[in-house]
Amino acid sequence: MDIQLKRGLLDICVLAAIKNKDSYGYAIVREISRFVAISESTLYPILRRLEAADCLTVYSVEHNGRLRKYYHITDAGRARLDAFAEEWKEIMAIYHFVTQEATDDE
Amino acid sequence: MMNKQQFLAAVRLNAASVPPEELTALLDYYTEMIDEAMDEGCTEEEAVARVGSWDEIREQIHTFRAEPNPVPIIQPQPSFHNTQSETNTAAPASEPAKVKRWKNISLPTWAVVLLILTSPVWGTVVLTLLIVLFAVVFSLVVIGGALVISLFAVVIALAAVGVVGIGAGVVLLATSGIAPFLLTLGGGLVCVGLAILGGLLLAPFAVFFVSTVKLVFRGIAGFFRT
Repeated sequence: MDIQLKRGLLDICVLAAIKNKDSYGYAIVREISRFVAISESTLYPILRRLEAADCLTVYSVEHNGRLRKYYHITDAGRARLDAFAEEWKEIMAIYHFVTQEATDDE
Repeated sequence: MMNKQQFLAAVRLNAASVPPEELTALLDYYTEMIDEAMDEGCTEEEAVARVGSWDEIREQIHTFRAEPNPVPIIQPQPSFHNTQSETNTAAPASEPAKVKRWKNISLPTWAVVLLILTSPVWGTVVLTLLIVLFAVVFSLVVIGGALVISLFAVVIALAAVGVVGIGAGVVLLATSGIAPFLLTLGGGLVCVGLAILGGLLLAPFAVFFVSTVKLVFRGIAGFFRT
């Protein structure tokens, strides 16, 4: 996949992973790995970037005697997800156009 | 295979230029990831290996470092020379670097700074070479000039001898007779002839030499005029 495209998509994936409930880094990696190759080290800059863009906030929770960082989506983050969905409606239309079988015009 | 301590130390090394708060956040993050993996049942080494390959980690630290400063749009520099096109280099950090120009050679600022910093080294070499070159040129000029002058002296001497010889010959005609007169007259005429010939040959050479010297000096002066 194009690297810039992948980067943008990963940002969106991370936001989507915390859309419905807050989550922590390790769990986010597990969840996104179902769709796209990502490791803990890849995730880190994404989280920092989203935090810098105010798309999420961070807080710590104690777990098993150590601190675990949880990430919470902000309104700006949700707006980013909505914008993505809108944009891709158009891309999906184009995709269907490109891949449709010429059944109707035979 | 690294353990957690080794890994974190290595991360610290690789992120040396990251500011302290960022570095702490980075180390906390990796500590957390490793601990999580170990909670799931991995050994310490396995957990460290899972976190990512070293190339990946180094790359991620690097991209993260680059993130806060967005890639600058290269600003065209105002052009003072209509005939030359300006080129720009964008510095990795923020503002685009200006280009220095000298005699149509473009050098980015970092190159100029580097040249300045290392000038004691290359400066002495260049200076020595220049002094040697100048000394050689100067010696050649002096030698050439001396040669021309001495040749002129020879020519003049010949002429003088010749004239004296003719004169003496005339005198000898009165005192000693035909033979001595002819000999001395002949000798004198030969000398005068040689002198005239020498002078005719030397004159253009002398002119040529003088104009060459003038050209050389003008060339040297022109090179230093920026």
